[in-house]
Amino acid sequence: MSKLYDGGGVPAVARIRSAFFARVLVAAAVMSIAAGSAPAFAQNNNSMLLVAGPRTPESLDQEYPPTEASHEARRNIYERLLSYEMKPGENGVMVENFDKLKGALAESWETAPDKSSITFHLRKGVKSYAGNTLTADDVMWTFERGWNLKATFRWYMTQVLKITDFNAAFKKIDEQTVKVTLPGPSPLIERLWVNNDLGIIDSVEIKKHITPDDPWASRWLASHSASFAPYQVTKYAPGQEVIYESNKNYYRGAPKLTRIIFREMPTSANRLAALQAGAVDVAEWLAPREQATLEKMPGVKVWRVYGNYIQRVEMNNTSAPFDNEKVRQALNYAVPRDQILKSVFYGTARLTKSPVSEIYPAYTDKYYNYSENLDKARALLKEAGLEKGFKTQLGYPTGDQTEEELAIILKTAFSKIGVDVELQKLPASTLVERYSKGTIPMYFFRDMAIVPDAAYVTNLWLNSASLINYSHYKNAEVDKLINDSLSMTDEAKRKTSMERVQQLVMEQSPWVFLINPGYQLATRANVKGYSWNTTNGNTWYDFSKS
Amino acid sequence: MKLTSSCRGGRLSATLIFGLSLLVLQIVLIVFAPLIAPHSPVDADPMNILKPPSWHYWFGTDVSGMDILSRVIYATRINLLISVTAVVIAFVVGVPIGLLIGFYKNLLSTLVMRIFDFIQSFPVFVLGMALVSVMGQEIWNVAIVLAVLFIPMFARLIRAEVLSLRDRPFISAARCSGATNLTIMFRHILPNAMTPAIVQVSISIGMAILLTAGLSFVGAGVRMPTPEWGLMVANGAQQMILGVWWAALFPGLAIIISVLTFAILGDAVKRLAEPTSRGEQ
Amino acid sequence: MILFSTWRSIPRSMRIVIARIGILIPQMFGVMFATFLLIRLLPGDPALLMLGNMATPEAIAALRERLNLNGTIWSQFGGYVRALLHGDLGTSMFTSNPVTVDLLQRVPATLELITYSMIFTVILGVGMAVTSVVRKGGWVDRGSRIYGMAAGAIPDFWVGLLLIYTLFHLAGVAPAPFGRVDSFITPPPAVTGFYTVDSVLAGDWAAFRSSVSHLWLPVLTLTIVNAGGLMKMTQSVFADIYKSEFIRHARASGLSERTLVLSALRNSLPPIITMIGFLFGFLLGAAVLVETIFAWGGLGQYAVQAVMNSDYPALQGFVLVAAAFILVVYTAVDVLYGLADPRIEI
Repeated sequence: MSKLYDGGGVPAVARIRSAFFARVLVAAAVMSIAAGSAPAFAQNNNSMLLVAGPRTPESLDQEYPPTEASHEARRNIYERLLSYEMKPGENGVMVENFDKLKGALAESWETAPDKSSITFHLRKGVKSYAGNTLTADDVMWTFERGWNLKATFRWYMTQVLKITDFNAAFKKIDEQTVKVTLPGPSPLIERLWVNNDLGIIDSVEIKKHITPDDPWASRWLASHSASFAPYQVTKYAPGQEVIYESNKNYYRGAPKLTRIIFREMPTSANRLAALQAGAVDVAEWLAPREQATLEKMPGVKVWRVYGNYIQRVEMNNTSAPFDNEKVRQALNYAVPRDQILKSVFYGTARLTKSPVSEIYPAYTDKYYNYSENLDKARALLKEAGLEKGFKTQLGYPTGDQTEEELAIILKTAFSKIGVDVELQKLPASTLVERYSKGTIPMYFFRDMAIVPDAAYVTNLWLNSASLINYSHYKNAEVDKLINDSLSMTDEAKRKTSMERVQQLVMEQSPWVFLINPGYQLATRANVKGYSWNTTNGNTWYDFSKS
Repeated sequence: MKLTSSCRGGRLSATLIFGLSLLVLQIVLIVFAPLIAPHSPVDADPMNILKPPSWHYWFGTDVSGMDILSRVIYATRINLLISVTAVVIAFVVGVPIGLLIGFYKNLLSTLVMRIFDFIQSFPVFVLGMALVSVMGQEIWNVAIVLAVLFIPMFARLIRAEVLSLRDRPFISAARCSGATNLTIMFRHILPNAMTPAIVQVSISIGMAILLTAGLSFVGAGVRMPTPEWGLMVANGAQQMILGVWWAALFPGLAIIISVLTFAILGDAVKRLAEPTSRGEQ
Repeated sequence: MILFSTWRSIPRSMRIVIARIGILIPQMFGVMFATFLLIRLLPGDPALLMLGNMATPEAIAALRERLNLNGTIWSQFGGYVRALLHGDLGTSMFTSNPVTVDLLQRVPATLELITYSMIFTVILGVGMAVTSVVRKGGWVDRGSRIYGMAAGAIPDFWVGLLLIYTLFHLAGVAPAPFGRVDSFITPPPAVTGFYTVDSVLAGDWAAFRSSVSHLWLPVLTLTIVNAGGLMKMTQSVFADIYKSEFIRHARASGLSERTLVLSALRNSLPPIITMIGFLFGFLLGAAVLVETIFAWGGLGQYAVQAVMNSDYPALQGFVLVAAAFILVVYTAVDVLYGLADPRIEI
């Protein structure tokens, strides 16, 4: 009988064949699944490290605004003029020793006695990944680029060192010597050059990528690196992965790990699973709860440092009712800090008792008097005339599970004293816009300052002239103390000033002081060498696998 | 003939009774939530986080220490409120529009149809996400966004019916007897055209519940700590890999039961409206 | 009249294709404009976010200039269209890559996921439908009724999570739910972009096994949820045809059941094709949720990130591409429908 169908089209025979073929495919797939589903183990290759992180760096260019992910990249692909010696810190982890500077690309340096100029003597024979040798031209080109791009470098030079004229400030003395002269003394004249954003670029290599409309090779540098650092980026796929290859010419000796593969896995639970399964060697930024489960697991370990983060709820000090000091203090008395430390952070966090990080010089906790005391909180509200409480909003960014948990706890806590908080979970950019414009009364803010200096820190967040003082805290005495500390060089006087600043700030409480979450890194047990620095980004050069 | 229909009627009953009783259950939960729920749905209790199901917490607690059973109960209000509101708005706006564009064959109708083509050619979910981000994550905004997404569907259904009805003899008869266009549309065509739209209402409510849950799951729906099933699944999802199965399981089951209710009811309405299926003598 | 007769003289299949493609272009333009408008309404100033600590007014202004955020809506749209005509979809503010590059990197991931899901959905949905009609009252039939009812009610994100929990966490038979291959496996050299196909072409069996093992959970998730709808629709269409006059006549004439089934299927194709077309478009949206759960690295995840970060160019690029894809699929469906059903006039 001939084929039967209504109108033109596919004959029945073809249909049977395709059904059969489909069945074969399915069988093959099932067999492959069964074969391939055995648990996977990270290659036992001791020269390669697989890292799972929440985000790939947004750009590799130092002139791009710094973020956590880009800080870590810069840490590894750029080398700076100076650095800190390392010392063993808590739990045996090596941390930066802020009292001891040492030369990195600069073999030695001289600072004028009045701290208004510094001369760097560059190390000889430092070779980049591409094989070029470091000279003063690289340094000068890097400075010129930074100055002309009007971004990160320029911010440091103008806001911190108060430089206004490039040619007056930066001078090449000879092939191995560069001098920087400031208009006036600065206590940070040495420390600043350790900063993660001030790495030196291999200008010989870069000049191959300059185009007439891109004289500073910004397009190329956003996705490539060329420097004298231990690592070079050889593959950059934002949103997916970044691959670092070691620089065999590195002046301190070739790194033990020749290849670092950094994969983006936005969900912390996935990073945890990958680490457990042995599919990655390092899982960054796991939630405290997730780390707690790792404790009981063989084959993995969690490194901890207390670090330099200050996580707080900032309040807009210029809008009612947060313009009243008593209201701000009241909220501080309503926070159940012990519960938070235990239930949200599993004991990995510490209370912040000052706006300055506790490991930075001039830190003091003697002005911290808060404890959970609901009666006192209510009394303060009554004094402020708000016995019945009030309604307000608390903003936090999407994607941060921990802050959401904190927000819910705070909402419940504040409701006990009559403050009705509406939670606003916002995309990060919206939140930033709202708190910059002052349209959100309370918001979470977790930040750290990478220069270990109390005046630098308070200048960022508490100086009324600072553009990132989003809480709009204003105290004339504090402003003066900060500004003076930034230009005087007498360390003892600076310390006293900073202690006074901390006293005033703790009394006036522009923020709800919460915790320092610390920094933790989960790795497989055979990973060694983790070290901490103020950017909290991992320094792959120090790592090794056994 | 009569035997056959009552036979089919018998088979219908079991499922329909099931569906109706689920609906009643949900209505009871909505109205009597404060009496039924054992704990507050929004009070965080940091000392009791992630407790597995027990006598004290039937469904266990979530990552903030809130009781999951209570939250599931209260979420019935939120999810159903949003979905029913969205569909009602879509119906009330979409039906007249469908009537108008089906009746008048002019440039405006074509334009409106093309606009509907746009709305429906966007990936629904991404469009929903973007709209909620623009408008803000309030319950009413989510409902409005969903309504906007559903309006084209209702309008199209009505339009299809109107197109087939407008040339029927009874319409010409009405016209002859002097009825105005408006009267023809609303008094003669509409009652006959409404059936598919009514059938669609129930199904759309189910879809709306799923969409709301989906939006909240990615974080573009309602905000914490509002009890809402999708949001609860999202929070539970993060804990699942640590072995916490209860936080995501129960809200998901609630979604299934709720959507199922409306699917069953929609099916029943459909059979009521079209008692004979094609091809059967 | 001449135009009409010229039109009529073109073969019917060509007429269908031309007519549909003709409408496609203005629709695409409309989509572009609507997308552009909508996304500009997204709140948040990306320049401020990105600058954070380094925010000075001049830095903000410079960055806004770089990101082309100044000027009126019209001038911005004009710039956008001009760039588009050069194949430039803008640069993502988040990844700093050209959006076209970002999309191209992620398209294969989503396509692979959707294609396999589509295949299995069709196999399962149509297969169950045909079996339940042909063997009426059998266990497939009864099971299909429950499944059809339930499938439309199950949220896909929930199914995905449950599958992960049971098959990965409890049973350990599935790999950890992240990405398309295990971390230590290098993806095969890209020919089609489908890891499964490329690894076979390259003879890399480790990569093949790994990519298949990572595919089966998300594909299973999408299939379970979507096959139900297809099945129900196929059931009703197929049942009608199966009971119709000409099949009964053919059966009476002595043709084998199998031939009858196949021909009835053949005749049910038009609405099934339409449904499959819708499903393809629908899956693109459904993939958003599934990709997020399985960290798939495809377009869906990209879209969510774009909305969450107010990344205008990326979101615009995604919506444009997705809408274009859906429009093309609908056009193809219409064309196929027209070709398959000789009763359609054009």
